[in-house]
Amino acid sequence: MSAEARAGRLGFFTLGRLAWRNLRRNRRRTWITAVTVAVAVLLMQFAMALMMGVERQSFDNLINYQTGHAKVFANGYYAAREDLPLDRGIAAAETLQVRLRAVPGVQATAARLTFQAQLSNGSDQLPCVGIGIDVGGSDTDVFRIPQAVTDGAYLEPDRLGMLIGGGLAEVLGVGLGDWLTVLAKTLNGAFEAVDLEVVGVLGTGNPAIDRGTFLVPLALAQTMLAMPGAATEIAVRFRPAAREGATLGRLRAAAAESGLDARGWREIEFDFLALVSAKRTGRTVALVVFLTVALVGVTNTILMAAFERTREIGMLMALGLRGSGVRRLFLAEGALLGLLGGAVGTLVGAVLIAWLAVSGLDIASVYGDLDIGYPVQDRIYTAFDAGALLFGWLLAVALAALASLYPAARASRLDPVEALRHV
Amino acid sequence: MSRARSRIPLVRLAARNALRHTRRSALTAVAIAVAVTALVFFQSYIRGVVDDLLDTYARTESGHVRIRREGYAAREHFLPAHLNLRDVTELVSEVARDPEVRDVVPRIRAFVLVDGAASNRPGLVLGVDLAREADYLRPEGMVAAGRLPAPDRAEALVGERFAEKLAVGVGDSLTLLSQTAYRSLGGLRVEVAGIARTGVSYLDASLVVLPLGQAQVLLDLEGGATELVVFAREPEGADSLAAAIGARLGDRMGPLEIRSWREQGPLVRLTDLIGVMIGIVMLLLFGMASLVIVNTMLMTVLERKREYATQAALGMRRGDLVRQVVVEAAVIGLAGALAGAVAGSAVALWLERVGLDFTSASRTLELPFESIVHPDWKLRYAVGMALAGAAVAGIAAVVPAWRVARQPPAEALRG
Amino acid sequence: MTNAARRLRRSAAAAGLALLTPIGVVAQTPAEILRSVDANMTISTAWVRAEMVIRYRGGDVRTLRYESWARGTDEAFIEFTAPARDAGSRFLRRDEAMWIFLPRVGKSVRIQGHMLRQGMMGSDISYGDASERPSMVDDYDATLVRRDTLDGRPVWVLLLVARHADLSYPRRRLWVDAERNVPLREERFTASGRLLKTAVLGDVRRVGNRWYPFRMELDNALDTETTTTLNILELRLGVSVPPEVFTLRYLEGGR
Repeated sequence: MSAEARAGRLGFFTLGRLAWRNLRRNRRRTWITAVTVAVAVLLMQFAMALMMGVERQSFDNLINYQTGHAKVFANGYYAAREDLPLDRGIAAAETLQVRLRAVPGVQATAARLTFQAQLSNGSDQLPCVGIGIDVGGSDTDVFRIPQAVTDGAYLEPDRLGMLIGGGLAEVLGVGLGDWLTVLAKTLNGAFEAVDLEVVGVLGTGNPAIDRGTFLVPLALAQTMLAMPGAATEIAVRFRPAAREGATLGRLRAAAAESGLDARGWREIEFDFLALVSAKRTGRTVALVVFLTVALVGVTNTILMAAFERTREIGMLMALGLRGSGVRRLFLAEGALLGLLGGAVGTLVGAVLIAWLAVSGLDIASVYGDLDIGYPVQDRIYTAFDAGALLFGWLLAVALAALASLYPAARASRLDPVEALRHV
Repeated sequence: MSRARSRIPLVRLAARNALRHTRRSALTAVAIAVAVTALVFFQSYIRGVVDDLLDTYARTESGHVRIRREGYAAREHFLPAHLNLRDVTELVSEVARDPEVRDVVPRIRAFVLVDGAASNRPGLVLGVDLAREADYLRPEGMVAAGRLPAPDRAEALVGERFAEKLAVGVGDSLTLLSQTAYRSLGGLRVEVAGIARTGVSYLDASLVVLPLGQAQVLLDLEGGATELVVFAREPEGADSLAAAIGARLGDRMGPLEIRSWREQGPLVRLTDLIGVMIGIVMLLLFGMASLVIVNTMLMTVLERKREYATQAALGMRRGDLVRQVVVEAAVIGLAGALAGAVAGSAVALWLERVGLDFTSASRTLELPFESIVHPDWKLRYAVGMALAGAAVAGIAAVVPAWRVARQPPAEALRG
Repeated sequence: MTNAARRLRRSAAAAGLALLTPIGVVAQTPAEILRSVDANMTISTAWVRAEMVIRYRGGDVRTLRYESWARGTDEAFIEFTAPARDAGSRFLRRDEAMWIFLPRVGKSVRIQGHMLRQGMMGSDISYGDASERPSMVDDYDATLVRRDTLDGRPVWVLLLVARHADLSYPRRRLWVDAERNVPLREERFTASGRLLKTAVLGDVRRVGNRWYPFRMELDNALDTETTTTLNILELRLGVSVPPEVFTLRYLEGGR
């Protein structure tokens, strides 16, 4: 290889150092570009986190209010679950739960008793679904019903009362403090009725709950339906760190040993999931638009900077840097800008996202009867996902480098003499 | 040095300056153009999505105006068949006389018990004039297997999951039992002509679509319906149309509830909600676009520091200098923004015709989604975003222009 | 005890008592009171022509007419004859199973599941109630609460508690005419004592050597939209019922 050629090539570290020095030399340019990248990264991270947050919230909503991570049923219940067959319940719910809690990955279990009922406000009778929950026991370990109480308070273990879905309350024309009669048939087929006070109104955002169910203490339901100690299902919450698939498998095995049937929430809510994956397609459009604008913006900035440095490039070339070296230099600068700008953007974004992930964004009460397919409530939360943040950062590096391609190519083709003469 | 209040032809000067540095101006303009393109397109896209949702809701539920018997809405949850509209043909022709009315269709909604698979299962009957609903309910699009019921035969279109639960398929028979318009017990035996897939979970699990005449037989509601759905020529004028219909009908047709779609609760909330969600995303996009414009302007201005310093040294007043810079920025900005608006409009209009296919995205919990989204381009988006783009460019140039103007020319020339 | 055996026992007891119990004998224990009530209210066979009046909260009134064959408490056939739109609607009950036939449908439908909760033809008599006719004395334990007067008649007020867990109404309160052994008022409760349904019986007439109420008013305590009254227009007891009446074929119109 000729001496010239060798001189014209740049080693990796030299490249890096040179790029860094170039950037530092012209603060203004560097800052502008870096800030562009930073803000672009910030906006995108935020948008992504928001959209992911809404999606995750709807999942969480399901898990927190309806399904838990998994449910364990008696054999034969799941197939007939729409009829809510009391005669296919789980007899000794408590002992079973002990065994289930021992499964690694399981954080908590709670027994529930779901039954067909009619609610009467004295003039109208409405068919709906009642759920007996282990108030004062483990229901709050698995579910987060207290968070869904929009009016009034959560149930108390010794007090006779019910929580009613907001939609249901509206149709019956009742509110806090009103009394409703719950009419149901016991396990054996005898009518039983209980008058209960509405102590709380639920707004989960999930119409299945809000428009069709009411919650009562488990003990009350068991007594009313003549099913002492029994349940129709045991809901399970996994540990946050546990891997869902593996834990579900172990749970299934443990359940099978006791002659029971365990189902994961994804299976139970299969329909809903289909909906969610569909909505992602719509989000892609927004993301593509975002990315295009960002890319063009950064490219533009770097290009302008490149033009400004025509003389500088001429000088570099006069000093022996060849075309390919110039190109690599520019790419390195771009990558470095992406690294820096991306770091700042990601960092600021991470803070913002983390804050909103906890406190949420208030979108006031625009929710009513109609849902748009996402069970979410008045506050939307961002999703803090370290992986996504990291990916965003790396994407910034890649994009910034990409944005430098054209300017780099152009710069490398300059004629040194012409360049030097440039003002 | 005194100077008469000069009337520097700023715009012409700006334009000439811009043209002089074609490459730089072009770059700036292109960046702005891309940003504005994105904004115009995105707004049209979002509008398309929202319009689509509203349109679907209007077609399948509320119409633009909905006419029912007085008291029905209060008991809506129970679908009370005894609160119905009689002599629907006459009612329809009366309402259709209003020039603002595009079409009027009668519908019957009722609860039924469907006998099948060792149980009487609750279902939802929708009785419609299948031919007339081709543009509205679009029953043809729901058919997943088999065909639509023939208008004068005792046939039904059954929701997919419902048919599964009842263990019936095309060609099988079903018995429907329901409470009639006289609060008595009515029944109908139908043949399953087709299986429906609406994409809406609860509908697929309970829907039975019948020809209007058959639903009338089932409910003992000869010549009647539970609601009249009116479609207006101008959806925005729904409120006044509702009032006009009310005035026209007076008391002649009995006590009626005539509600425009805005008065029908959930719709307003739906659009508000979507608006909020979209607003957030638009804001972010606008931020991104502004960012691009701002930093482009920043670079442009700072790049020409020396040029401006020279002008200052030659006696140009600071204020004038700033003004000149800003105007130039605005001119380039406007040029870029206009180009962007045109490009964005072109894309939006093209996609409006072609449609974005989201076939897999066609399921919601409550409303059937059309699977093809048509961005809805409006002139005001293009104009609005163009002006916004130009404005941002102008504003973005002010600060750097001031900074440059403030620097003593000698320093600027040196740097 | 199987249903058939129960049926047999009841019919025998009823027949026996109908012959042996003269008018005005005062039964002593609550169980015996119940037995007398059962005897009066239980028919071996009967043909009834009656009117069903349904009053709605808003003021509307519907009046239907029907004719019915009954054998014991286990088999019944009802056909509505008026008004015209309801004419031809038929119901068949055999033990605990119930079927409906509507001329327009042309095929019988077994009533089960959700339908059992519905009121027959929109009335306060649910299909579930209509398909369950327990024998008071066999299915309930009775205690005498007090003696009282109701509408000028001396009555025993009895409290009935279900003997087994599968009866729809675990508790009932019965006002029995002390002289005639005919129930004048019945209230049905849940085990916890919540009132579910009320039946008021009146227009008690002598039929053969028993007393029988010719008017029955029913009300659902939890759903006050309607009140239903049954007025018997013509009652023939002890008629010979053609055996094919209580078949699906008959229900579907094969006469």
